[in-house]
Parts: sequence; C-alpha cells; structure tokens
Amino acid sequence: MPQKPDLTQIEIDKLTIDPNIDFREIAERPFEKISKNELGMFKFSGVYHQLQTGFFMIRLRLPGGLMTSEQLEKAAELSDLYAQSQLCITTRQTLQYHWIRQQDIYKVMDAMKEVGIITTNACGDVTRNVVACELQGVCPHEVCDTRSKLLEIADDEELLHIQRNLPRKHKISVAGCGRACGQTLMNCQGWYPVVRTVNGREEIGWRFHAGGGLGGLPRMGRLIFDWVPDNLVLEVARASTEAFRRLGDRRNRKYARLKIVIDRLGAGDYGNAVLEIMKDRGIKGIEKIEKASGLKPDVGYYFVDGQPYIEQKQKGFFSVRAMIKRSELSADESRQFAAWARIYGNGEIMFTARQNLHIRHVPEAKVEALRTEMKKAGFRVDGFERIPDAVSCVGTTVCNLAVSDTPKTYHEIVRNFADDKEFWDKIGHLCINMNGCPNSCGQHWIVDIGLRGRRIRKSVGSEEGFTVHVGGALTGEGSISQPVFDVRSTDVVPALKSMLELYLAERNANTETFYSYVHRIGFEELQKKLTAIIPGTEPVNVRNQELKSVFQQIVDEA
Amino acid sequence: MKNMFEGIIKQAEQLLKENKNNEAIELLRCKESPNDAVLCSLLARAYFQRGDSKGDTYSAHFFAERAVHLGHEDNRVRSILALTSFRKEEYQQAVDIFSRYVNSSSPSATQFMYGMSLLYNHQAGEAVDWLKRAVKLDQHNEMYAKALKIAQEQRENGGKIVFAEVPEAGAQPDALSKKRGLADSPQDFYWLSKNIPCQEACPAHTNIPEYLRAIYDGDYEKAYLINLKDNVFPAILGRVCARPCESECRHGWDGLGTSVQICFSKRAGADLRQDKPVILNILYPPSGKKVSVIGAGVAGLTAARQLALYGHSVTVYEKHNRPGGMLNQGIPIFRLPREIIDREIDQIRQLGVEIKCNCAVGKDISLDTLINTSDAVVMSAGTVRPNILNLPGKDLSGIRHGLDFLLQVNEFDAREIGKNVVVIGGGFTAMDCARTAKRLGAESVKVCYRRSTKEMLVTPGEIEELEHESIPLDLMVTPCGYKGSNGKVTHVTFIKTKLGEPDASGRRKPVEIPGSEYDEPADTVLLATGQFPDTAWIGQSLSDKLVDDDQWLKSGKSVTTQVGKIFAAGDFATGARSLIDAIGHAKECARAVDAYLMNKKRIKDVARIVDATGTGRIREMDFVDYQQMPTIDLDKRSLTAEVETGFDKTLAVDETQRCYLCHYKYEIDSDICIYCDWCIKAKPRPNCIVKVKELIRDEHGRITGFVRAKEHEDTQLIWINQEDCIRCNACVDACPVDCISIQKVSLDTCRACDVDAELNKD
Repeated sequence: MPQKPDLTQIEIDKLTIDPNIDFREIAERPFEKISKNELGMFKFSGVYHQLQTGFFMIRLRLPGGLMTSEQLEKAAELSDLYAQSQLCITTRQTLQYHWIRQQDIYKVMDAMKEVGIITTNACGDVTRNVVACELQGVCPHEVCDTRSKLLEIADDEELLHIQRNLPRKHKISVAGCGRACGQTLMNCQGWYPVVRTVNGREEIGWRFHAGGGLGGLPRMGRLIFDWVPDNLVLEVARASTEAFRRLGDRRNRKYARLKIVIDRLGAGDYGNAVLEIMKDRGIKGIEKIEKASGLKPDVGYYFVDGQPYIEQKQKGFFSVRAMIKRSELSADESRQFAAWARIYGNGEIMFTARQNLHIRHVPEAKVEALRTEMKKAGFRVDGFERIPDAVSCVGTTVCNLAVSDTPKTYHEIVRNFADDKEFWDKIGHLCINMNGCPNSCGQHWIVDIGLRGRRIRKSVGSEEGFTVHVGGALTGEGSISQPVFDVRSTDVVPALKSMLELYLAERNANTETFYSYVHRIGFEELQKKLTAIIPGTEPVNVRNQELKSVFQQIVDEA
Repeated sequence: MKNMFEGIIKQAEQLLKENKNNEAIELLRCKESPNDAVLCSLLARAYFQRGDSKGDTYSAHFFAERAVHLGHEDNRVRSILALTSFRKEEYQQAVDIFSRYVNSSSPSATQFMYGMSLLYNHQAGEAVDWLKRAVKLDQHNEMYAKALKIAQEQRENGGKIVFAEVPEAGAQPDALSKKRGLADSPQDFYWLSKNIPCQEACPAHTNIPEYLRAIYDGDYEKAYLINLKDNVFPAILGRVCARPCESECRHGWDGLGTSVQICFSKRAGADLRQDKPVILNILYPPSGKKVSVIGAGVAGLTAARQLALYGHSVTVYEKHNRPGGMLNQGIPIFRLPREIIDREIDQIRQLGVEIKCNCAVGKDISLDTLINTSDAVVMSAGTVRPNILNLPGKDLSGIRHGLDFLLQVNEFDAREIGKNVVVIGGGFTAMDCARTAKRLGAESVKVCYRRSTKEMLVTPGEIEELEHESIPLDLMVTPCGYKGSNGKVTHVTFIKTKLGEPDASGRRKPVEIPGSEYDEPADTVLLATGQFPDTAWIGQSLSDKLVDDDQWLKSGKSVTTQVGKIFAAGDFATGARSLIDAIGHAKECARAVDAYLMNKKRIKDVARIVDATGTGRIREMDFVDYQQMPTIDLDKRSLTAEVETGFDKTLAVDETQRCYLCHYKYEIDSDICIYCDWCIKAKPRPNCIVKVKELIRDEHGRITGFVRAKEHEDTQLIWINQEDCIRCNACVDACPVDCISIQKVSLDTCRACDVDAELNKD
C-alpha cells in the first residue's frame, strides 16, 4: 500500500524526551553527549543552542512584558556572571541571554526563579509568552483590567503545564482595547475587550481573533467570535488551544501552525470546532458566545505613535519611554533602568514589541528629570515609531537560521538617519523592522518597511543582502508587507534613502503616511519606480575573499 | 597577578598554534564562564582563525571587544578587532584600532591593511602613505600595488573605491533551454539522457517513470498506452524483456537499494487493464506508399506498425504459419502464453497491416518482386542460422541446436527428450532449453557455461528459477569435444576455464586451464551457443550488393543498406540481441523508411516540459523493499502453465511507489533563492541539494557537475542535484520563498509539423 509519512523527528522527540530537562544533569555532561534531539527539546525550557557551538541562549517568560526593578537587577547580575554582561529585549516583550554555557544554564534558571520568573514555555511547541500592549494597566484607552485577564491565561495550569505537545508554537496576545498596539492580528489568538450597552447596562466582553502568525507564511488573524463573555475567555483560550492540538498537521512543520488550520477550515468551522470542544467539556454559557459570522477584523490605529511619554489613566502619572539601541542592554544599563524605575516610578519596567522599554508611574513633575537622565546616559528618548526606532533580530551574529547580519544593518540605518531629525520628522510614522532569515522574529511582515535577509548571487559566490518589503500593518484587517526590491547589505542605506525621498516627493500633501502612499500607488508601480533609482556598490564578499590571505598574516605579525 | 587560568591559557595557545580552533573554543568555554580578559582574547583568536562560518567574524569581534573591555589589549587583540571591524565594514573603528599600534616600522601586511582601512574610510590621502610603505617593503605584491594605485586615484579624483570588481551574475543557470512547452536543443536531450537513466537505457526509449506512476495511480490503461506507443508489445515485454532499464535504475545504484522491478510492473499495467484491444491513432493520412516487410518477428512487426502509423500501406511476409518469430518459436509457453502474443499482434493488424504467413521470401516470392512492387522493403528476417560448435564428434546424433529444439517443441508439439540433457550456453536460449527439457521429462538436465553468472546474458530471476526447478548450473567450463558410441553421443568433454581479460563485448574472456578436462555424461546435447542471420534467401543479383562474404549484411548494424529502397531491422542487421533491442532498432528503421519515402523527416523527438505541483512521493517510499514476482508451485509447472503469475494491484502499488520519478525536475530559481539553507536542512539525502561554488559545464554549455562551496561567501548557488534527488518535495515544503519549481520533463516523439508549429509559436 502507499507509504504514509512518518512522524517528523521533532514529533518523535516530543513523545520520547521529557520536556522538563534536568539542566543540572546537563551541566555535568560533555557537550558531545547531548543529542541533537535533546538540544531541540531544550527549547521547551526556553533554551536555544546558539550559532556558536556550546553556547546557549536563554529566554525568559515574562507575561505582558512587565518586570520589577528587583527582577531586572537579578537578570543583570546573572548576565554579568554568565552571559557576557549582555541582555537582549525580544519582540515578544521579554528578555534573553546569550553566550550561556551548558554548565551555567541551571544557575540562570534557578536564580531567576527565585525572583519569580521562569523560562518554561519561552520557546518550543507550546503556548509562548503571552503578550500585551505596552501600556497595559496604564493606558487611558484600556477598556478594563486586562492585565489580570492576561495573567489568567498566561498562568493557566492547562496552557502552561498540560498542553506541552502542540503541533507547533502557539502565541497569544491580550490587548487593552481595539487598537493595534497589542498586535492582535499577528497572534494565533488575539484578544481585546469591547463594551456594549444592553438594556441600558454596560457589559464588557471580548473579541476573539485566531489564525494570525508570521514566520515564513504570514497570515493575519481572522475574527472568530464577535463576543465572548468575560467569564468565558479562559475557556475559549483553552478550547482553542485544544482545537489546535487536535487539528494541526504534525507531519509537516511548515504547515503545522494554527494559521494553516484556519486557512484550511475557515474561520466559521474553526469557531465551531472550538465550541464543540467547550460543549464536550461541559462549559456553561456557550450560547452567549457570538460567532463572527463572516465579520472581518477591524482593528483601530495605534495609540502609541511617536509620544516620548504618555499620560496614564492614573491621573498625574506618566509612562516614560526609552529607546534601546538594537534591543541590547548591558548589565550596567539594566541596573540603571531598575534604579530609575524605583526612583522615578513604581519600580515597574515594561518591555515593548519594538524592543524598547517604559518606566511607569512617573509623576508628572519627574518626567523631564528622568528623560534628562536617560538622555545623559546615552539613551534616545524621542523618535519612537519613526526611523530611529528600528527593530532587528540577532541575525547572523548568534542565530543558526539567519543569512544576513541584521544588527549591522540596524546600526547603519540608525547611524545614517537618526541624527537627521528634520528628515524623519518630515516622514512621520515609519517603522522599519529587519529579519535575518525567512522567519519573522524581527516581524518584517507587519511594518511600513521590512527587510528580510537573503543572499544575492554574484558571478563569484554570493553576497549578503535583503529583500525590502513595504506596506505592512496590523490595523483594519491587517496588511502583510510585500517585497519591492532586493539590495545588498552595503546598499541598504542609500536604497532606503532613495525610496523615502521618492515618497516625500510623491506623497499627497504632508499628511499621507508612507503606508498609505505605498497602498495608493501599488506595489508593482513602486517596484518599477525603484528599479531605476536603487544604487549599487562593490561586492564585499569578493573583496574579503581577495584579502583573506592577508588577514591571518596581520594577526601573526601582531 | 598570575592569571588563575594559566594552565588553560597555555593549552589553548598551543591548540591555536596548531590551528585546532574548535578544540580551543571547547577548552576555553568549558572550564569557567569566559569572563576573564585573557580567555576572551583567546576566544577571539580562535573564532578569528576558524573564520569559516557565518557568525565567526561577529564572535571574534565580540570577544576581542570583551577582552579590551575587561582590560586585556595587546596588539594581537587589536589586530583581530581591527580586521573584524574592517570585515564588518566598520572602517572608522578599524582605523581607530590600527592607529593604536601600527607605525612606520610595522610589517608590510599590517601597514597595508591600515592603509586599506583608511582608504575605505574615505581617507585616501593618508592611505597612500601607508600603502606606499607596504609596497616598498614587499615590492612584488600585486595586491599592495593595486591598492596603492586605487588610493592615489582616489586622492586625485575622488570617486568610487572598487578593489575587487566582478561582473554581475549572469542569467539563472537553467537546466533546460526553455521554461515550459516543447524544447529540442541538445541541452534538453542531454538532460533527459542524464537524468532518466532507465529511459535512456531502454532501446525503445519507453517513458518508464510516467507509466510506473500511472500504475501507482491505478490508471492501467494509461500505463498500457504509454508502453504500447513506445515499445509495441507491453504484455509480452512485461514477461520476457531483457530489462536493460533495471540495471540502470537509480534505485539500484550503490547504497540506494534495489532497482525498481520495471518489467514486472509493466506486466501489471497490461494484466490489470481491460482486455479490449487498443488501436493507436494514425499520425499521418494515407501516403499511398507501399512497404514490404520480410519477417513477422518483433522487429518486422514493430517496423510494420510504425510505418502503418505514419500512413503507409504495409505487408509483412512470414515464412512460418503464424506471426511472432522468436516469440512463438523460441520462448516457451510457460514463460509467454500464446494468447498474449496473438492479442498484441492483432492490435497491429487492426491498424491495417497485412501479414502474409506461409510465404517465404526467396522461395514463394522473390525479393526482386517485392522491390519492384513496393516503394520500400524492410528486411527483418531475424537470426535463424545456428552457431554449431566445430568440435570433435559434432556429427554424433543427440547433438542439436537449442533454437531448433525449442521450435520443435513450441511449434510442432515435439515431445521427445533424452535422459541426460546437457545444455551448453549462458543466455536466454540456454535457460529456456533447460527448463523445457526438464518439463519434457529428462531425468537429468544441466546447464554448462564457460564464464561466471556475472557474464550470463539472462533475465534477472532466471538463474534463481533454474535453481528452484533443480537444474544445476556448471560454470567456468567449456566443451572441447563429444564422445559417443553407435553414432550416438554419450559424453561431452569439458575443460575448466578461468576468466581472463575482457573481450570485445566487454565481458571477461574464458581461458582454458590445461589438463582440467573431464567427461560429462549426456545423451542429448542442446547448443545454446548463439545464432546468425541467414541471408541465403536474398537472390544472387542483390546478394552481391547487400551481403558480405561472411553472409552478414555489408551495411552492418545500420538500418539502411547499399540499396536505397531496402532497409534492415532488428537481429537481421544487428545479430542476435534482445527483443527490446530489436524493437528499438526497428523503430529507428521505420523512421528512416518514412524519411526516404516522404523525402523529409516527419517524426521528431522533443522534450515536453510541463509544470507540476508535486509528485506525491515521500521519503518513506524509498524504504519499501522490492516485491517478489509470485510464481506457481513446482508441482504445477508444465510446458504450458505460466510460471509467473504477475503482480496484483497491491503488489503493483507497493513496487511502483519505489520509483524515484526521475522525469520530474526540481530546480531552484537562483534569482529568487535567498540562500537561507532551509531546503538543505530539510533534505533527505546527503547530496540532493548542495551549496555550489561553481557549476561545471561541457563545451556545449551543458551542466555536467559541480564544485562544492566551502563557505557562505563563495556559495554561488544552492543547487538541486537531480542524481540524488528523490522527488520527495521536502525542499519545496521547506522553501519559504517558493523558489523551487517542479516540472515533468518527458521525451516525446511527435509529428515534425506539430513540433515546428509549437516551436515557431514560441
């Protein structure tokens, strides 16, 4: 009979290797005795083997991106001890360490646990760190207390400890309102609260979206339920996760995620599947859930858009923003922020999807003093959601998957544009995100300009470069950015400059955003226009190859 | 203060001196978190020296910076930091660091790189001084001189710095001349011949992968039709083909298992379909030309069928009472039931081919008459002149040629056989003689052959069946005489042999071992020692033109002869070969006849390229073992009971899913590929997708091989190596940018006018 595909190796690993790895035992084992399969399963504890053999990345689980000063100080202390004094903010609002040796993994985990932070499910085929909007708990537009809802989901026993063998990763977002700040449409489950008046009484319920996801096959979430009563949110989140567990394709990882399940079933049938599971579980009140019945998502524009600080719903208090260069915080800087949070705010630090941070609950009178201090310490305190506020993944520096050095390109962009305030002010809202590989840690699909790493074939070898995408957004029904040109890494800055100058010259009035401009003229048209103006320079790969013989000689001579 | 890691440092330094960079990294990483300045400096050096993967430059730079930050800044750390900055195109940092330790008495390479850093940092004026000194110190270094020249030009005129200019990459290196449709360039035929080895090995160029897939899909009619079109006798060949395709099948290559049972599968395609005859469409309207074909064996019938398809009026002259030639006369019924032969010959008749039996050319009708009444004549009279070994005692009774023996049994119901039968030979005839003799009741049957089994020209499985039927095989013996009494043979004298150098056929020649003679008792000796064409029937007037002194055709294996309108097909031209060889030769002959009659080539081969979305193959299919042909029990075996019973539907699926479907071409569009390596990570076989520095091409521009790339920067292409590709789609599934195309590429034979019309349309 025709052969059926075997389970993929990782599916076999998930069935045969306990995801609760004993890292004390791992610390004792020679590296070569750790199997590739075990290394894969480390992820379920938030541990990745990095590009440099024998060194690891550890990602923390930080629901909603909120940390206390005490926790950040501990993280800094550990990075001094074990991680080359570095910390990195991720696009899912958490922190990660690099350069951890296998001998030190458990030390970091144990010490973080002491301050209430675990790494469980920070990676792997599980429900990942649940994200929120960066103003959760303080935003003037927040409909209700969404932080408690987020924690209810994030800390749920079933989602955190029982559902640990999903077909693929599973991501949840809990936003404070129907605006795009909470990235509702790019998550497997996207939640936001809504208010409606029934019989003269205000009721709070939730809109449930599912099937968003980036990676190599980006999809925008679909509206599944137009109304979920507040008390059923967790049950729906659980049932949706269970539906994914049952329906995800375990034979092909590329097509395993929930977004593909929903592609296949459609939003309506997926909603039915979720309701069916709830019915089987004997959940009461299902009839109060209102199916979307063909309604499309309608996410509002970002509230957080360029403000250096934002007045909180708690009157007289502000959330003050600091831009973190390339998401990298040194241990000293981390300690500094922890101290500032304690001195100026309430000791809370919020990490953002654009890899920056907020110090919250700063009384109005102290806002400027804090900003001055931050500026003095070398942090940018303006330019948010503008060109200087670029986002990049770790690229070829430490990632196994990357083909392009995104941090380098990030620095090139910042170096060349950040000081030209007049230029980026003129442009207005413009988010640039970079990704070193076809995955989407750097979220290049959902922003105005997204760079995705690639190599470009030369007559001799190939050279590092990017495919430049434009026109992504998480508003309305969502829009996935489209590729418009390929460019060598060395040419990214002049190419972007040319494109932005074209935009400034052609935009309607001074109010048309880059996003609107791109969608008005169309991707193909833009592509045509850009082909003529994108510059080119010398292939660096060839030059470096030619000089290779000299390099070692110089070190020897030294 | 003495460094607490002194021991590790010493060991690491030694390892670095020996360029054992990985070991050094391992050592430096293992003992303590590398937060020590010296450890960091050594890690920087290790990564710098390794330098062969992405991330190494970053790591070297990172740890060099850490070393400096932690207070260790010697010139070696500085040099690493400066060079990695340069590589990262952070020229200002490179200049800053070089300036900390480079001076006018530094060695040439160091001064050169300082100069280069200044040059790329747009400080050409200062660069010139350093580069000048480097040139002075090493006057023969062309690289230094080139850099100096660029710096001087830059200083004078400004402009772009181009140290190593290379032309832009050329067009995407396609495997075929066209993206889709019909293609007929040498590149396309080369691809077909190189990548579909079974089809290339089949003399009739049967589209094997396509019909195997049809069988897998349960579309037996399609499978039969493909075979019928290409090799004329699918059900017959499915039983008795010599299977040259199977020895070339990729599944049988070293390390890949066993060849697909193509022949048995072909038979399943015929057995499992309906019994209705299939009449092919005539390609051209009636031409009004008349062709006579001499001999109704496979070659004659193939030529006749092809010529009928081309619109000609064909008559076949056969001296026996029924058509089929060796199919009837030579192959036993237990291997090939006669109704199968009749059915497939009938399909040829239904195309309008007239077969005149009991009509021997040269006796009942002369060749001259045929020539005078036909527009062309095809001689396909087979090989019926036996090769009788000229040994002492050859005239004793009981010694006969195997072909004659088989003819008598198969055609004339002869049933006599001796007690002790010795069959001499190691080919198809020998096997058939032995198994027939056994069925006739001989007490002892033995096959004696002068070489080893490796050199035997038999169908796979035949030796096993011989053993199964308890017929011994004596190898490495050759007859050197016969002994007898009362005019009857009683013994064959054999001499033992050993294998010597290969002969003209490529097989190793048997060399007799003196003194090793022995007598083998025998009352019947069947000689399966080959046969030659009989040209005696060709009349004298034409014989002078056509036939050589040795009675072979003067035209050799060619399909044409010295006489314009006379052609030759099959064994009659080539000597005794397999059925499929005869079919291939006869097809070629028919095309030559058509071109002669119509004064132009009306039939063309083309590559047909069609887009596909997948093959349905998965890696797991590679691990399915080959399927055994079911056979009847020994006690049921007789002269007429077919031994092999054929695959049922389940076995047919099990077997055909093994085919690699080599006619599917997986190709990466290198203009879209982003070199993310995801396909390489997903690949099931070591060499199915490779990182290529350069493709090797022959003088016609055809891709004949590749040079592997060692690192990222010299990787020009990620390339699918068709030879190792198993068409499992894993790469397509993994590719995030959809740059892998799948196409079905088939060798097709079409009307030239249709091909030209489509090619001109393009």
